[in-house]
Amino acid sequence: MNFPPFLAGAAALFWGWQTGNLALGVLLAAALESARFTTLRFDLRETDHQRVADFCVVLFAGVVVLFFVTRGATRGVLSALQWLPVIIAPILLAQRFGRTGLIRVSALFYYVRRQVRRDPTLPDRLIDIAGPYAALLVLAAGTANTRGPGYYAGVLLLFGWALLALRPRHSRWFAFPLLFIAAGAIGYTAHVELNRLQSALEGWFDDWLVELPSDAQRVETRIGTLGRLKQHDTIAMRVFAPPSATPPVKLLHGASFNEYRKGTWLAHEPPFQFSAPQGAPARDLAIVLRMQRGNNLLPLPLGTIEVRGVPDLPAKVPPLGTVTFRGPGGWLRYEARYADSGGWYAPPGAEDLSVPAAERQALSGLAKALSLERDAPAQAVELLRRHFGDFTYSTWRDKAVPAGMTAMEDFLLHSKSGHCEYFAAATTLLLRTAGIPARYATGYALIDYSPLEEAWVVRARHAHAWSRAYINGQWTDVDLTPPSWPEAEAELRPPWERIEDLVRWLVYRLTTGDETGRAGIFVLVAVVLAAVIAWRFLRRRQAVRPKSAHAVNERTGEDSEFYLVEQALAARFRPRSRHEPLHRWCSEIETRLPADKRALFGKLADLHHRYRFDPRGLSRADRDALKSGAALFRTEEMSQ
Amino acid sequence: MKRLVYLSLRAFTSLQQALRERLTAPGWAVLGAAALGAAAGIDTTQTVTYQAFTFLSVLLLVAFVSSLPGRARTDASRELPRYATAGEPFFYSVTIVNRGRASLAEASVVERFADPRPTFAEWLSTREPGERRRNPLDRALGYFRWQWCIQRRLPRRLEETRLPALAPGERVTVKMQMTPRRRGRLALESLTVGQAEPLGLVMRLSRVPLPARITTLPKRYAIPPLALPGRRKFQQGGVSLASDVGESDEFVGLRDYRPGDPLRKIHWKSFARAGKPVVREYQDEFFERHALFLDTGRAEGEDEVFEEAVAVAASFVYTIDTLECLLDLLFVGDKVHAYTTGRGQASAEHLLEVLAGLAPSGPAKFSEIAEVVRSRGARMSSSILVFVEWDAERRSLAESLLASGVEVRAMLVCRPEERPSDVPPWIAILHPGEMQAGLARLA
Repeated sequence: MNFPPFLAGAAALFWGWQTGNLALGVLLAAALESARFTTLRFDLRETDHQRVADFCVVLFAGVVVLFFVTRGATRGVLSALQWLPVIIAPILLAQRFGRTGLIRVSALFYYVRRQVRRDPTLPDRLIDIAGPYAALLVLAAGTANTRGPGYYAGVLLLFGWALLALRPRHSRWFAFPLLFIAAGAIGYTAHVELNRLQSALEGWFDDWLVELPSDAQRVETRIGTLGRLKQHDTIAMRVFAPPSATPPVKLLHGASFNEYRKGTWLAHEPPFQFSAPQGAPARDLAIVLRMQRGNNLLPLPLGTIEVRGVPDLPAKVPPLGTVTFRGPGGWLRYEARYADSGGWYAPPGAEDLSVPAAERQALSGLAKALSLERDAPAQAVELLRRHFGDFTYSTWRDKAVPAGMTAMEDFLLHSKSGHCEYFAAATTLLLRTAGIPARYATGYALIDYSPLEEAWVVRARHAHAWSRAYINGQWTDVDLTPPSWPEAEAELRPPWERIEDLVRWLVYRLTTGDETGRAGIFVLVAVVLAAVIAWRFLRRRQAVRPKSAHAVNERTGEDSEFYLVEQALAARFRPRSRHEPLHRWCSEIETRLPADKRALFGKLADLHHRYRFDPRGLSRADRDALKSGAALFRTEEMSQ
Repeated sequence: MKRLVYLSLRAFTSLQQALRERLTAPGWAVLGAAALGAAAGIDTTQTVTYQAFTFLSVLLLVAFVSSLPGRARTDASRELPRYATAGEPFFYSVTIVNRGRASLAEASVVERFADPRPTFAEWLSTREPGERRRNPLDRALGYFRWQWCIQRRLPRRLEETRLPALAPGERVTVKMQMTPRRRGRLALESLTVGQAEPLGLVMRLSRVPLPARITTLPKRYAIPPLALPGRRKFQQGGVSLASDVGESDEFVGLRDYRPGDPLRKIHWKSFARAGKPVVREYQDEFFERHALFLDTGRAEGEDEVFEEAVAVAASFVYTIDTLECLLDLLFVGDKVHAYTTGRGQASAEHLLEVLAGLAPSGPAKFSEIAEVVRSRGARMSSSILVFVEWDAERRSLAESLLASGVEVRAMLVCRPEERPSDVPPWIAILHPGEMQAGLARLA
C-alpha cells in the first residue's frame, strides 16, 4: 500500500489551520515532507525507533496529565489529542529519515515488542505509519472545534485524496467518484442531524436527571424517609479566613422557607422593602463557590448587607434572604459584607407563625410541657436546646413512621433521633407554636479547615438545615442539631479524602489561581515528567553503558589483533573483498598457508570470531592467547 | 451470567471474523479513524470530529453496500498434504478458475476454516494453560480461555494470496502456505476469493466450499543416535506377534529329516533334489522391545511443558527404527492406552497421529499407568520415561523399573523455575525452549 506523497504534509497544514497554529503546521509539514528532497538518511536501528516511540509515549502521558490537571477531564483529554500529532511526529520523522523508510510494528507498541521477544516467530511487519498519522492529524484538527464548513471540506479532501490513490483499478472510472460523492453528501446530512439529535437528547434528559439543590421556592426534606441520608464528598465552596479554631461564621445561609407541608418546606415571599442598617460595624468574608450550570443559590452569612463579585445579581433583594443567580459553571469568587445585626430579611409575617394542623396537637402539647409560651424568645430557645440535648443525631432510619402519627410527632415524642432536617423543622415549628416567628433555613456549615488551602473547605455533605428565629427584633440563626453531628459526619469520610483533596486543590489552583501559582504547578508537573523520562532513559542506558573504554572494545571486538593478521595475509595472498564474510576468506587463506601455520591461523580465527560475536566474550586467558598468537603469527609472517 | 458472557464472546468473534474477511487495509484505517472520531466527538458541541466520524461511517456503509453485487464467479480446487507438523509451514497448491463473464483482476484468495468457536460446555470445561495465574476478572470472564480454544483450531494468521488477472474461463494455480500452531486437526471449510469494491475499503467475497482436514503431527526434535539400552528378549507368542500371516519363525536353514518332524516342515524341492527328506529349520526369535511411557498427568493442562513432552515422545517414535524392534507407547487418557509399533504392528505414523490428538489426563490417574508399566517390565528391553511432573509416585515408578533390571532412560520436562531439587542425576531435565540442546545431551 503506497501512501500518496505530500498528503501527510497537507494534513499537517490542515491541522495548523484548524487549530490556529498555522506556523507550527507549516513547520511540521516541511519537516515531514523534507525527506523527499534530501538523500540524507540516518542509520537508525530498531532499538532507536523503539526509544523514539517510548519517548513520545511518555511525553504524551505527561501532556495528558498536565492538561487533565490544568483544563479538567474533558478539555484536558481533547487538548492532549489536539497536540498528539505534534508529540508523536518524531516517530514518523525517524521512519522517514531511517534507512528503510519503514518502521516495525513492535517499535510502536510495547505489547507487540514483548510478544515478539517471547516468540520470535511471530510476525513483526515493517509498516509505513504515514497514513494513520495523516488520519490522526485530521481528527486532531477537529478537537479545535472550529465551526464552519472548513473542517468537513478538509476531511473530504484529505480522505478522498488518500482513497483515490489507493483505489482498486479494476472498477469503472466513474464508480469511485460516484460513491465518494454520495458518501460525502449523506455524511454531511448525517452529521447535521447527529448534532441536532444531541441537542434534543440533552433537552430531554435535563428535565429528568438534573438535580436542583438551587431551588429557592421549595425543599423536600427526608423527614420520615427510611434509609441513610446520602452524603457526597465533593467540595462545594471554600471560605477564606485566617487559621483559627472557630470559623468566622458557623453557618452560611442558602435559602429560607416559611411553610411546612408534610415534609416539604415552601417559600412565600412577603412584600418587603430592604433598607441597609446604618452605622453597623461590618466584616467581609471571601468565598469561592463551585457553580452549577444554570440556577445557583448564593451561600451568605447571617446579616449580609452587601455582595461583591457576583455578576447579574437580581435588582430586587429577596425578602427571605435567598439570593439566586444563573451561573455558567466553574468557580465563582465573591465577597459578602455582613453585620451583626440587620441584613436582607423581611420582618416576620403571618406565614412565619403558621403550624400545620396535622402537627398542631403534638407541638402544642410539647410546647406546653416545656413552658415555651411563657418565656421570652431567648429563654424559649435555651429551653429547646436543653430539651434537644437528650436527642441523638442519626442519618439512618430503619423504622417506618407508626400508623396514625406524623413523622414529626414520632421524632419529637418517640424516636428522638434524626438528622438536621428533623431538628430544624421541629425547632421552627415549636418556636412558632410558642408564638415566636421562625423560618426553616438551609445552607452549609463550616466544619473542616484546611491548613494547606488556608480556607474552610465546605463539602456537599456539610449541607445543613437550621431554624432562623425572630428574636429581639432581628432574625437569628438557631441551630439545635446536637453538636456531635460534625463528628458523626466525619466518620463517613473516606480514608483517601486527603489525597482527593490534594488533587482537588491542584485542579482548583490551576483553574482559578493566579499566574504565579499556576506556573508553580506547571514546574512541579514538568519536574515529575522530566524525572520519569530521565529515569526511563538512564535505566536503558545503564543496561548498555560500558564500564570503561576497554569494555567497549571487549564487547565489539574492534581491537582484535586478528585484523593485523588479516592485513598481513591480505598483502601476501589477496585482500578480502567488500562483502565477503571473514570466515569464507579465512577458509580459503587457510588452504593456501603452509601446513605448520594452519593450526595457529585456525585457532586465531576461531578466537577472533568468539571475541567479535560471542555475547559472553573471551576469558582473560583466551584474550591473551589471541594477542600473543597474533603477534607471533605476524612476526613469523614478517620474517618471511 | 456465564451464558451471557459466552454469547457476547461468540458475537464478538463473529464480528471480528467478518471484519477480518471483509475489510481491506484502507478499510481498517477508515474504521479506526471513524472510531477515534466517535470517541473524540462524543459531545458534538465540544469538537467537530463527529463530522469525520459520520463521514467515515457513511463511507464504510456505502462501500459495504457497493460490495454486495458483482461477486466473482469462480471454481477452485486444492491439493493438500496428508500431514503437517506443528509450528512448521507447509505449502500446497490451489487452482482457481474464473467462471464469470468479466475478467478477474486484483483478486486474492484465502482459506476459511470450520467454525473454531467452542461450545458453551467446552468453553466452561477447558483448562487454558496458565489460567491459574490470571487475575480473577480474566478467569471469570474467560476471554483468554476463549481465545486459546479458538487459536488451537486455527493455523497462524494467513496472508491472502494475490491472484494474477484472470480472463473469463482462465485458470491459474497458486502456491499457498499455512503454518499450524499446534498438533491436532485443521478443518478447512472453503476457499474465499475476494475482490475490493470501487472505494477499495470492503471486499466482495465469493466462497467455494471445499471441506478438507489435515492432521497436524506433533513437532519433533532430532534425537541423537542413541544406543537404546537393553537386550533382546524372548517375546511371548514368538514372531507371530510381529508377522501378518502363518508361522513365521526365523528361518535358520535346512537339515535332514528326523523322526517326529512334522510333514509340513519338509522342504519338497530339496527332498526331490537330494532324494532324502530334508526339512526347514527355524528358531524362536529374540528381539528388542522398548516401552515409551508418556506422562500425561499435567495439572496445568496443555501448557508448553505438556506440548514439549509430547514432542519428545513423538521424536522417539519417529526416530526409533521399528523394523529392528518393537516400541510400545503407553499413556493414560480416559483409560490406559498402549500402542505397539514394529513389524506387523502399527506404523510410526499411526503413533504420531495418536500423539497428535493426545490430551492431558487428570493427575490422579498416574497410579493406573504406573501399574501397567510395572506389569510390562519383564517383557521390556528398556523403558523410555517422559515425565511432566515430579513426585514420590513418579520417582517410585522410575526406581522400581530400574531395580527390576529394565534399562531406564528417563526425562523430566519442566520449566527452569519449577525444577525439583530431588531428581536423581540419571534423570535428564529438559526445559521448554532448550529442548534440542537438552536432548542432544542424551547421547
